[in-house]
Formats: sequence, structure tokens, C-alpha cells
Amino acid sequence: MIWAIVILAVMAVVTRLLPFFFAKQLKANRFARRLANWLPPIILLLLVAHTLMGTPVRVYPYGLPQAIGIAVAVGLHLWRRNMLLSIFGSSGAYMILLKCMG
Amino acid sequence: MSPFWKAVKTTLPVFLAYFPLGVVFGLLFQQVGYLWFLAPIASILIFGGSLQFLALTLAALPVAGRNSFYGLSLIDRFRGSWLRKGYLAFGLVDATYSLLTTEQELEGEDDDRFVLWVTILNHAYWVVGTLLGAVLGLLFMFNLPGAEFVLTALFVVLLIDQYYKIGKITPFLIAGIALVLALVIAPVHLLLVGVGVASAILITWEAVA
Repeated sequence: MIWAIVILAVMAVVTRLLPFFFAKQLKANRFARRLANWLPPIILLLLVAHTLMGTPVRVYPYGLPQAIGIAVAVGLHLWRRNMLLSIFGSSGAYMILLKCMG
Repeated sequence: MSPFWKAVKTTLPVFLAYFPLGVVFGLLFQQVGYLWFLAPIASILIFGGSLQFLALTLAALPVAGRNSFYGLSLIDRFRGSWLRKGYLAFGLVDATYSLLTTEQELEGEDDDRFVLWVTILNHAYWVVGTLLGAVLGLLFMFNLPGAEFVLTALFVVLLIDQYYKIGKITPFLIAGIALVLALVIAPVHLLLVGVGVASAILITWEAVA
């Protein structure tokens, strides 16, 4: 296990450092620049989906707590644009729904 | 507000998501039969956030590849020595990437401090959580049903802020198409496939336009 940890640690640093080795070339490349600016929303949408992957939608409660939780987060954020309020308001709603519907 | 306190405020949701997750990781680590003190060491050295659970099965290698895309968006903001850059790149997990690319960039050296503190704090939440989970072992079962939703909500909120920041619908349309295709092709590797598909769409876009 110790060796597995060491190998994984080296892999983690190398893969995450990769773009920095080619910083000069990447900055000069128009495509790389556009990718750099547009990746955050793309990755964020994928991350939202990723966190919901285990949700059972065919059986009760049909993913309703998740759907309502997200709706609350979106609603609160469009209304006040206060990150902490949106996150804790929606998570609170989700946890209550989970308890009531579970 | 100093860069440090701004980092504390910004990472608060990550603390509430990573700390309990770290505790669970610390607990699980022992149940699979590894020595307890290796859990925090794994968290210090690997630090994959939720991804790290895969390390328990050694299936993390192909999935870890997605992090190599993350540095691309932060090339200009990770400055200084290679040691510093190395640590920042190492600490570039999902939550850190999301916060740094969405939050307003600070001026000059203040931004250098902010970037470093956000990375250190997120890493610390995870390591301290893991340590606590490992030490508590099976004495207490840390269980807060639904706490994992904090991460979903964080990503949803940052996604909306990205729209205010970019002001264009195109990247979101590309993201939607990439998501649907990734769900069809390989839902297990959603992130890696999704980023690949999105890059392919962008390459085609550049070639045509």
C-alpha cells in the first residue's frame, strides 16, 4: 500500500503539472486560449452531473430531493446572488426532504 | 478583506463538504484493512478529493487524467518557483479549480496569496478530516445524511456565476452537448469523456469558423 500511495502521489503531481510545462506554447495558441476560458463552465456542468450519478431515478423518491434541492439553489442564487445563502439554503432543504421522503 | 480571510470565506462551503468526506475516507481506509496512520499520509500525498476514494481500489489512475486539463485555465495565475507551481498544480482538485476560475481575480501579489491560501485550506480540510476519521476509527460512526449535497449545490452556484462572468451562452451549449454524449458513451468516466467531447467540438468550431 505504501508503494501504491507513492506511485499515485507522483502521478497526481505529473498529470496536474502537465499544462505548465507547455505554458509558452499554450498561451500562444488561439485554440488553447479559448479552451482555457470555456473549460470552467463545461467542467462545472459535468461535475454537477458527476455528483448526481448515484441517484436512483426509477424508484421512490425518483430523485425528487435532488431536483428540488437544485431548483432551490438556482432560485436562491438568481434572487440574491449570495453563494453561502444559496448553498446552505438548498442543502438544508435537501436534507429535510431526504428525511421526510426517505 | 485580506487575501487570507477572503480565502477562508470562499472555501467555507468546501470545508463543510470535504471535512466530513475526509472523515469517511479515514474510516473506510481502515475497514479495507490498511493501517490507520496511512490514511492521513495518503490524503497529504495524493489529495484527490472525492476522487481519492478510488485509491482504495487502485482504480484512480485513468480517472486522475482529468486533472491535467485543469491547469490550462490557470497558467497565468500560478506564478513563481516550480516548487510553488508544483504544489498549486498538485492541489488543483475539483473544488479548488471551480473556486479559482469563478471567483473574481485579485490584483497582483494579493492574488498570489489568495490562490495559495485557497489551495492550502482545501487541502487542509481534507487532511484534518481524514486524520480525525482515522483516529476515531470505529468508535463513532460519523453520519450526516445528505451532507454530500453541499458539493452539488456549490457546483450549481459556481455554474451560474460562470454565466455572469462569461456572458455568452455558447460554452454552456457545448457543455450540455458534451454531457449528453458522455452519458451515452461512458457514464462511468463522465468527466474525462465529457471534457474530451467538448474539446473535440471546440476544435471543429475553430476549424469551421
